[in-house]
Amino acid sequence: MPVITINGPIGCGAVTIGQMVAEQLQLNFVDRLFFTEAARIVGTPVGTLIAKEQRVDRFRDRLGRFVQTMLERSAMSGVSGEPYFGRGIENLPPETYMDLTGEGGGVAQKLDDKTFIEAMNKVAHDLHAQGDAVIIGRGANHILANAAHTLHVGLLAPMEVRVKTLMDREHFEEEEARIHVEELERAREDFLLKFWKVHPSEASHYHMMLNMGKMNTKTAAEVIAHAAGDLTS
Amino acid sequence: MFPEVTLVTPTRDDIQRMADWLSDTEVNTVWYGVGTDGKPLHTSYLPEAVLAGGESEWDHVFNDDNRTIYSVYSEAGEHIGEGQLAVEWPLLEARADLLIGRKDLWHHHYGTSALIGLLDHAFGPLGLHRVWVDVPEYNEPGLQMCQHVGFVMEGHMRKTHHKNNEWFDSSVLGLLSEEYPRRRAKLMETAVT
Repeated sequence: MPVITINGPIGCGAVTIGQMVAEQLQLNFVDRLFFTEAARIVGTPVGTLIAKEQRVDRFRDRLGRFVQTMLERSAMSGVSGEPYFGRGIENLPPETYMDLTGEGGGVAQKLDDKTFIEAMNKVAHDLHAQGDAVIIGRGANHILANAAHTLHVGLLAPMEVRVKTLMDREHFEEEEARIHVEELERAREDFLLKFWKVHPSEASHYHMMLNMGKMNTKTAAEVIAHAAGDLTS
Repeated sequence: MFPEVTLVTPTRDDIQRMADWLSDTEVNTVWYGVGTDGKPLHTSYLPEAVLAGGESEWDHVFNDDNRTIYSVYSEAGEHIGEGQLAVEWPLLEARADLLIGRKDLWHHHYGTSALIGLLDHAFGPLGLHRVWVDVPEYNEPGLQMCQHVGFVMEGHMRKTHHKNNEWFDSSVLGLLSEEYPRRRAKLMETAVT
């Protein structure tokens, strides 16, 4: 009944490795589903919970709001265009992104920390009770810090590796990917510091840490699967 | 370029065609299979039961605020399939289901076009925050199509999908409103080139 948590900064390959480990060991794989389950418990859109984890205003969100605002402006000025990518965007300087941002936004509603953390705890403990799962991030390694039959894996990777991952996966330009990586990493640090008073790269919170700048994903998955063998033996 | 499709309110003729398509083993095998009575299963409603029922049964299925069912029509004006959005309003999310019943149009991107139509509607007029799909392991083309459109693998659960007395793995993939514009744009770029 092993449960494996894998934590790492965005772009380090945690999702890919997690899927490979789950496939290899025939385990359930839980990534954003963690949040969608917590959202169901709280009865609020998942964006509310994601906003708790990613409180730093993300570039992509800003871009989304920027596009939205442009659409509204275009609509008001009678400029028609294809939804989402209407004419007029090219006429605004990039610094307008910042002008258009504000606190919160999107569907995020107010959610108090206690309710949030209770929902997160419930999802993590339910998954642990069910067993046979690979869980990606969301502080699961802290919630299940001392849980039985659980392996906690930390990943790290140099900035250039993470930027390249984002460029390949999200089709970002290099600078855009770098901003995204930096912002989300800051948000991740804030999230873990706020709720568990820990830094995500602190090795003592994991059974092992793997440097994805020095190892390919296949090898990392095999190492984790091998280490998980100790949990069932 | 992706083929043009339109999503419209179903007619009784459309639902009869759905019943015909679903009775084809090749179609229901990639869908929900058949029930213990040997009749093909469908999501949300059973076409034959709706056709046999009266107006109230029809209204119950097709005028439901929590579930929108569309017939998919090709550019040539032919009915080719069905799309559904089952909405959970408190969560601002919907589960999407899509079936292209015309087998001769499989693998010609009609599913992709119809899925984009569903997403445009979900994130546009309906104002939803998340759309998700549950794809069983035996529908690999469906999984690839959803990922191609921009859905993210949120979880993969072992032996949770039951069909024809067998249990199958299934993948839950989701797409958020803030993720959709960029991915849609990239998809359209690839379609042009």
